[in-house]
Amino acid sequence: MSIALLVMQDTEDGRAIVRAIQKDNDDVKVTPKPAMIQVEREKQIVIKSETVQEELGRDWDVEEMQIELVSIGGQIEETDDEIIVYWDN
Amino acid sequence: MDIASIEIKPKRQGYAHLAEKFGEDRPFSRYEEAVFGAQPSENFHYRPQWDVEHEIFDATRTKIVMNDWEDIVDPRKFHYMTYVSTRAKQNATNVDTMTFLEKRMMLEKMSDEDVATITKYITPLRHYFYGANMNNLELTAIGYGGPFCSATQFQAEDELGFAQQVTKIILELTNNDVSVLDAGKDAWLNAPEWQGMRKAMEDSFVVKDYMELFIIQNAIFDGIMIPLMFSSLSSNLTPAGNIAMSMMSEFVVTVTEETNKWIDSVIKVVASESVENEALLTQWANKYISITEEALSQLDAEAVASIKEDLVVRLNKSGLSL
Repeated sequence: MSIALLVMQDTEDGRAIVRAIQKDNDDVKVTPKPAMIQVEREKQIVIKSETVQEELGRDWDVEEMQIELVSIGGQIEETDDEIIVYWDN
Repeated sequence: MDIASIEIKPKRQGYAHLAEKFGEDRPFSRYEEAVFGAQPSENFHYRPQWDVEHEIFDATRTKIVMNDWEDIVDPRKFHYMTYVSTRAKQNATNVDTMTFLEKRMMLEKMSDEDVATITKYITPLRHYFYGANMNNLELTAIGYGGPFCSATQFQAEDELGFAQQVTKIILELTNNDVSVLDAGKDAWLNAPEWQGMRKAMEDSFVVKDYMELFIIQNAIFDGIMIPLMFSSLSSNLTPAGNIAMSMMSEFVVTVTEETNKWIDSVIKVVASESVENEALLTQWANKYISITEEALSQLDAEAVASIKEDLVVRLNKSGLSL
């Protein structure tokens, strides 16, 4: 099965997004890289803005994802409330 | 050519006292680093002369019992940097709003009756907010637990900020007539309709139990006073005055919405800790809701009654049984 991939910057906000991903997705593989965090999961990764807001303690627009994003592996589905990185195969 | 790279793993990800608290070594958030372990808790020497019954930092200054005071965290996760940048952003919006109102001459177009209503009701609030600032500084001084006391310090600054915002609104409306501010102080000190609230505020200055004081000031006083003066007041104005006043109140209203998340969460955490805690909070809330309701109904009984209803619903949602 294909692996959906996200690489985030290892920053205050980046780590909060990763914590949110871990809350909303089972069996995520998180690997620390130098100055980055690699997140992998089978088929798809969901980033919910509500959970990220809880982690950050402030409003967070899904577009802010771009600030922390280093690399992405998969197709992207973006709505006002969530981003889904997935493979449709 | 093959360039090899070596990845050097740090021996520790975070501070040792946080790793011990959470039972895992990970990079901790700035908020966690700022508030946890900040409370001095041992090796006290002399007891303070102003309160010989207690240690200088002592959780038994309240009847509320918590297994761990660090459980009372702030959902806004405010530490210095996030607090200051959040408020700076909100104030920038506020300054823009004021500039807009001036540019479009919206304040000059306001009727004299509207200006009189606004100055009459909100000028004395400068002194209310000053009292609210003192109460929150008292909470910071005698309260217990890093997360709780850092949030009360920010709350104290916010109350002072609200007093400044009131001053700004009044000076804008009266073309910098400072005598209006003196009249506001005189009303707070002498006008019969304000004496109930002034008494309630001054009585709160001598409350020794810090969780009781938290309920009085942050949940009840602010919970009724701010909606009364910054939302309900507008309905007594002409449509044009209402628009301008709503725009000038927006700073206070937005900050309050955000602050209420913290207040509700404190109540929720403390009430869910034990039945005794919940009973105490409920008892205090009941007592001070009726004191505040009586004190403020001299200003606008109908509005106070409806604000009180909303407040009861809000507090019950946080786990009280009013």
